[in-house]
Amino acid sequence: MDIDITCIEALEYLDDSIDGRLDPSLKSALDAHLSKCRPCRTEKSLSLGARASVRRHMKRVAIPPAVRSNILDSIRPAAATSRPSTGLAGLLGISGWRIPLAFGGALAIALIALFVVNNKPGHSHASPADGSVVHEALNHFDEVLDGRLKPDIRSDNPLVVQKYLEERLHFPVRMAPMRQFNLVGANLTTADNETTANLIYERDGQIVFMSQYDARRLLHGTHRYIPEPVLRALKASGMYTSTGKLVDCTMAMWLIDSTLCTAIADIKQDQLLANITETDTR
Amino acid sequence: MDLQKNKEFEQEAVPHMDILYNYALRMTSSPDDAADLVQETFLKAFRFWDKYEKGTNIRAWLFRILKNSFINKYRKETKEPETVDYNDIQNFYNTIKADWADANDLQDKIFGGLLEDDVARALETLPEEFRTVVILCDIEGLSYEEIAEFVDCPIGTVRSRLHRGRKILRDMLLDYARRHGFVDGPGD
Repeated sequence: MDIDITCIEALEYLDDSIDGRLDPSLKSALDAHLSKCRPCRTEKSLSLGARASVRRHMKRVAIPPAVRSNILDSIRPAAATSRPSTGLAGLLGISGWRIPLAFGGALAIALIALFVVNNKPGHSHASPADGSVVHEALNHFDEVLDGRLKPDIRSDNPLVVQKYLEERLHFPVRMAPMRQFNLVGANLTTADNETTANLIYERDGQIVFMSQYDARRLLHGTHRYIPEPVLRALKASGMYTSTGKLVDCTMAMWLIDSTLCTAIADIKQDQLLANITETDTR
Repeated sequence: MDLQKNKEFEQEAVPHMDILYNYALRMTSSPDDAADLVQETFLKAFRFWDKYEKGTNIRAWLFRILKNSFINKYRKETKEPETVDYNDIQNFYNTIKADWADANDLQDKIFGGLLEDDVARALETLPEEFRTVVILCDIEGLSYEEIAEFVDCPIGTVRSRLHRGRKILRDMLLDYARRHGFVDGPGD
């Protein structure tokens, strides 16, 4: 049985109804009233319009990276005397035992990368800074794991991160979410006068590190380059994977339009690919 | 000891920096003031970390520290609220209620042309207790229950402040729309 309500009661219930907090019987009474009362319908429309306008214009923003760093720096000295800063590793919740392991892992990765990808003799524990985007990505992954490469922006909101990056880049960033990993943040690195977007995802202490490059620049003879085997795989199948080549991490590279995406993680190749194929790589 | 404290703080408190910054930004309308407020909040929170009861709502605890800092620092300096001529608004309101047949069209026509500055100015002039609940509910998307915990008052109070705050805000926005000439109404 419908309850009859007055305009005054309708106006009282309107906000609760819009917020989804109205008892179902009152909700149907309100809907019945609105269907026959134009002034109350107008009132509802104005309430919705004002609220939508506030939401549209007052979007959430991420705290500016410089402010965030200042705050973190001002907190950290209090404990600095008793421990070394763990940088990003601390923020990501990587426990103490993981750091040496991660560092050792990165060492192994880099040595293998030296052997597999370019066969160039080089440094004892890092990929050479020879312009190869594979070496660059492995070095950056190493730096993320031991806390030297920190996010300039920390947010799990892809739109916030994308806006931050694209305001500082000349190519589009691809922000489709990783299926099982949470976005932590991003930063920008520069090499050979070109900027790279680096995205960091995390789950239970495991990290997926994704770099994105303007492929047009890489293909047109700057110092940085896509190694030949990778380029061949990209041309043949649209994706390059490191299957069987890196023992301690896996890597995948793919192109979306003119953006080259690289993902590295210390998880199994099939897990990494399962995450990536859920993004917009298909 | 310090190591443990630092680790806990970074894991539990630091992830809420963005929401606190947003709230501070909407309350102060100044990125510099918002940054100062958040910095002060996190320094206090770190200093009094042992006072935080583990397992309780960390966001609400941080929020209360921020709100106290805001009150101490900015309440004295709060600008005089912008005045709205409620007679004009009432006339305008009666006109649109009587004349407008298509409610959706009305929404677009009135609010579609408002600028970010209009909305920010309207929000800024809301009395503080209303502004807080409107920001937390309509911008940050928090539930009534969480807001009640944040502002330390009953849910019924949150509800009534929210309804009243939204109504003032809507009237302000209507007034801006009228002044911009987005809709026909009694002239200035």
